[in-house]
Order: sequence, then C-alpha cells, then structure tokens
Amino acid sequence: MKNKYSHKAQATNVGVVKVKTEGKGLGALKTLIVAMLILMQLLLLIYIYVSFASAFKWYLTVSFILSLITCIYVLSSKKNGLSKAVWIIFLLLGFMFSHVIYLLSDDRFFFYGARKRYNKIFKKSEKYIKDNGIDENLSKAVENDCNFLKNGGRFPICNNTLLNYFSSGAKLFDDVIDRLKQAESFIFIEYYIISDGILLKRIGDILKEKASSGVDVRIIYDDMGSHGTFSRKTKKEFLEAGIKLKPFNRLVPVFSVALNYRDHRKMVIVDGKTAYTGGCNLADEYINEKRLYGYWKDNGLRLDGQAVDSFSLMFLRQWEYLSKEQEDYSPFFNHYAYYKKDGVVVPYADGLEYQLHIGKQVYENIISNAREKLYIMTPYFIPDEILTGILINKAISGVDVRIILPEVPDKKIVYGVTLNNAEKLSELGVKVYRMKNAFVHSKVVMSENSVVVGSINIDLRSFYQQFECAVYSNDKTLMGQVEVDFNETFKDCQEIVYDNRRRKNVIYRLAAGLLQIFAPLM
Amino acid sequence: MEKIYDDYKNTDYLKVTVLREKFEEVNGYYITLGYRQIEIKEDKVYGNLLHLVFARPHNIENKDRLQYLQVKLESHLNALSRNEEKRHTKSLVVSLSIAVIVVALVTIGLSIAFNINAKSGLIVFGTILTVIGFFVGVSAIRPIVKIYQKEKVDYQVKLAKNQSEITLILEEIKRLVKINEE
Repeated sequence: MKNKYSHKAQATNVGVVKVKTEGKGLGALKTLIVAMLILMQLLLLIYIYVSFASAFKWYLTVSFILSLITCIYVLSSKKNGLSKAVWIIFLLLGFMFSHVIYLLSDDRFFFYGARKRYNKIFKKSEKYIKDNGIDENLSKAVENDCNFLKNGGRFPICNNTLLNYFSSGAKLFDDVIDRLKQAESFIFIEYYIISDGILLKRIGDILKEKASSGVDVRIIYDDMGSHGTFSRKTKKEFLEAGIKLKPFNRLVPVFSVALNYRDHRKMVIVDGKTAYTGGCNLADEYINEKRLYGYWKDNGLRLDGQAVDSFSLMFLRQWEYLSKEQEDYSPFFNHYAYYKKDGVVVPYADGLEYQLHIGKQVYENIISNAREKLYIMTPYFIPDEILTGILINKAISGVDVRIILPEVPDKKIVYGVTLNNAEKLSELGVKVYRMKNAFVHSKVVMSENSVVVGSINIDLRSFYQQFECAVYSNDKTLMGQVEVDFNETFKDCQEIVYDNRRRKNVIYRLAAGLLQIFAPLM
Repeated sequence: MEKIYDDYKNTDYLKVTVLREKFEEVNGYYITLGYRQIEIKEDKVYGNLLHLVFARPHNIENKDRLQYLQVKLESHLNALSRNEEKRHTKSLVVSLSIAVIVVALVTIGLSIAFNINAKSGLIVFGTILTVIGFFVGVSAIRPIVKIYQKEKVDYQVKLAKNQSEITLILEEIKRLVKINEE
C-alpha cells in the first residue's frame, strides 16, 4: 500500500502487530478517585488518632497494651498463619491506631448484622433443600466429601443431573445464548464482572426480548468487579426493558474494610431446568473477542437436572439479601427434567454467610484424598500453609501432582507471589506448568475420585473474603471431559524448573518475602 | 464503547494495528486464519501504522484452537521484530561506552600534556592518561568483536527459532482451516 503519509511521524517500539483493546476510560478515573478518597479518609483517621495519642501521653501506653492484647487475640483466631503474621507486624508497627483498624476489619463485628440477616434467610429457605442422601456404594473419599458439604454447609447431595463441560468461554457462552433463547419463565444471572461489549450485546438482546415478553429476568453483579465496565447506559436499557438488577456491595467512597468482600460467583439459571457455572465472567475477553492478556483460557459447566435447584436456591437467597424483599421461592423449584445418572453432583457456595471456609476445605479434602493423580488449573496460586503442606506431601508420596498456571499475568504482583509459591513446590516434586501465551482463568481441581469446577481460585481472597460457587462431582463423564481438557492444555505448556541459583539470591529472597506480606490482600 | 458492527451475532470482528511495511504479510496471515479484511485506515498521527478490521463467521470449527494459534502467531511476529531490532544492541552499547571513556581519557590527557603552563609532573600524568586511553581503546577491540559475533550467533538462533515457530503455527492453522473447509 502506497505511503501517502511518509512525512508523518514514525511510531517506534510498536511491534509488528497489535490487537486493539478497549481502554477503561472514565471508569478507571472514577475508581482512582474513589481509591484516593478512601486513602484520604484512612490517613485522616490515623492522623486524628495519632494526634489524640500524642496529646494524651498515657494513651501511648494504653495503645501499646491494646495492640499487644489484639496480637494475642489474633494468634488465637481462626485466621491462617500468613494472615496472622501480617496482622501482628501491622499491629506492633502501628500500635497507635492498628488495633482500631483490626477491629473494624474483623467480620464478627462489621458483618454481624449482615450475618444475622443471612441466617434468617437460610433458615426460612431450608424447606426447599431436597437431599438424596449419600449412596452407600460411593467410595470412602467421595462419601467423606459429601458428608462435609452436607453437614458443613447444608448443601444437598444431588443425582440425576446431566453435566456438560466446556473447555473455553466461547463454547460455554454459545451454549448459554442458545439456551437463553428457549427461556420461558425465569432467567437468573450472577457475575462478578459484567462488561459492555459484543457478548453482553448478544446476551442482552435476548434478555431484553425475554423480559418484555414476561420472563422474570434478574441480574446480580458485583459493583467493584463491574465498575467502569457495566455502563449506566446499558443498565438503564436493561431496567427499561423490565430486567431487574441488583449490585452487590456498592463501591462507595467511604473507608470500610467491607469493600474488600466481593461477590465472585458466576452462574446462569434458566427456567430451573438448566444452570451454568465456571470460571467465566460476562465479558468479551472471556470468549477471546477482546485481547487483554494473551489467549484467555477458561472453562464452564452446564447442569441439567436435579442439581439446578441448588443454584436457584443460592441465587434467590442472595437476591433476597440484596433486595430485602421476602418472596415465596416455590415457583422456582422442581422444574427440572429427570435424568437417570448415578454420579453425585453437589453445587455449593462459599462466603461470609458460612461459618466454615467451604471452598478451601473442599479443595483440601480432594487433595488429601488423592492417591494417584491431582490436576489443578488456577490463575493465581497463593495457598495457605495447610494446602501447601498437603500438596508437597502428596507429591513426595508419589501422587502425580500437576498445576497449570498462566504464562501471561493479569496482575504482576499477584503473579510474582504465584510464581514464588509455585517454584517452592516445584522443588519438592510438584509439576508446575505455565500455558504459553495464555492467561489461564479456569478454576478446576481434579483427582482420580472427584472434580470441582467453579469460581474458586487457589488464593486467600477466594478462600476467606469472596462469595464463591462451584460444583463437586464424581461423575465419570465429567471427569473424562475435564481430563481431556488438561491433557490438551499440557501440550501447550512449559514446565517451571526450579532455579536454585535464583532462589539463593539475597535480593530475590527479600523481594519474595515482601510480596508474601501482601499475599493475604491479593 | 467501541463500534459494534451490524452483524455482531453471526460474525466475529478483529481490530488490529499493523506496521505498514508488514501489511501484506500480516494481512495474509489473518486471511489464512479464515478472516476477511473489511476496513483499512491510516493512523492519524503515525505514518508507519495502519489500522485494519477483519471479520470471520462466529461459528467455525476448531475456533478455540485457531484463536490460540492466532495469539501465538502474533506473539512470535512481535518477538521476531523485537529480536531483529535488538540484534546488535549489546555490542553497540559496550562500544559506545568504551569509546566515550577512551575519548575522555585521550582528550583530558592531551589537554593536560600540551598545556604550556602545566608543571612537568602534570605533563607526565597527562601523557600517561593519553597512553592509557589508547591502550584501553586498542585492547577493547577484540572483546567487542567477540561480543558482536556472539550476539550475532545468539540472535540468529533466536530469529531462526521464531521463524520456525511461525512456520509450525502456520502449518497447523492451514491444516485446521482445511479441515473446516472440508
């Protein structure tokens, strides 16, 4: 092509080809403003406190004693070891104000009212739980896992559910779109990220059409996750079409530790007959029609059958919590078709409304019960010391432990911590792989006994701070599909080799140690 | 929000910025991937950039694999370009650094040595500096040549690897697209 513009400036350092991606624009600016306001409030709080402490000298002594007491309290708490260490450093270094910040961040205080409301909702909706009980023919490992889910979180054990695994976001959402077109009575959608773009346009057109024709369409989105991506214009269009929207935990410019707690769940429920979950959010990068971090590797799961009611229950409870409106759930249950299938299927959730850390403990159970193989795909790898210990134990005991991580990171600091953790494990026999030219966003853990597919990352945020969902199953068809996905993905991966020289470097070790301090926040 | 084309339900669109001199080559690659070019625009600021828009049917076989290969191809093309640019960077930097040191030593040495008002000790010092400068300059020639030759070999290996990866990727793309056409 003739260059009519050779007199113009010449761009350098642009590479040969660059796929155009969308900028965040005003959304990023608003996020920055909110973050600045929160930081200013925090600094003001600290300043007021320090001024008060300086004015009353005796208060310095009292502050120090209070911080020491808080340290002892932290040591006796249920927090993981790394969080305890970080909090104790913070409490001692900032003793003039740190104990106040700790109190503000303890969910027993700030979440007290919310937990009471959730408990009320749970109690009221327990009658909708239909549990098939635990089949005596199950393996001991699966039986134990089912007992944990049933007793620890009151999640019903389901059978008679068809499962279909999608090894990419594109495949998942093509199926979601086809299914949504057939919706007749209700559509429930819950995502951490909902983003304007081609995918939302394709799905939004169907949702608007369905809502206009009387289908009950409800969407829950996380206000921080969807901040700057789910535009006011689109929300207005949805509301005008009759779609009901509820943001989870509004992002407000007020200092509050509660802002850290996000709804990370991903689900679509159609007519109480079909449900979807997995790693994907509702945005173009998940179907690779927008490029952010290389190839976006993700997954999804479709459920048809009895287990769909569990997802409906999860959604309706969250909806009632957000809307503060009570309703009769019964019109939304028992619409599923009956499929004769033996595998157990247990959809489950995790979040502050549960006393136990369900997501973490299910992973721990699967990993500790593995005797032959253990395959994991996760975008972030920031486990606590218990999970790390079990993985190392398994690898040394001869279990084939393999972890697939991304080669292209989305958050460099988190990736630094992930690689540091992964290298430590690779030294002790765990095979850690990075998928070349890709950001792996799938969250799946599989042993020879069972598999979990869902929204739960192997990091401290998913385990302790976020509202999550997943499906546990021993269904052989599903496990076969997941294994195929792993085997195909291994071909595009490179194994991480433990680098002894790098790990002995003092500067590297200092940097790695510093990063670990922030791990509980990642 | 970016422009959404009319047929967004059945067609995938791809917007790409390309170096003008590589336009024909890159255009060919995307056509191999099953795209057709629908728009081409000059960049408003830079004369060596072109903005292209491609379209492809939404429902195609082996789409996930083709999307992954597309990313790999783009990554290797950019790596190839970066490696071509960096081919002699190290030897250039070393040469320039040593040249600056040599010139500085010789200049300072000569200016001290040929200063009429300088004491004899300083003249000797200036002469020594000049000699050191020349010595450093002459001694550095061989190592710089070695660095240059090693760099040439290293980058030839890297470029060859990039090129072979691109070839393999294109072979797989052609195989998959052929399967789609059948």
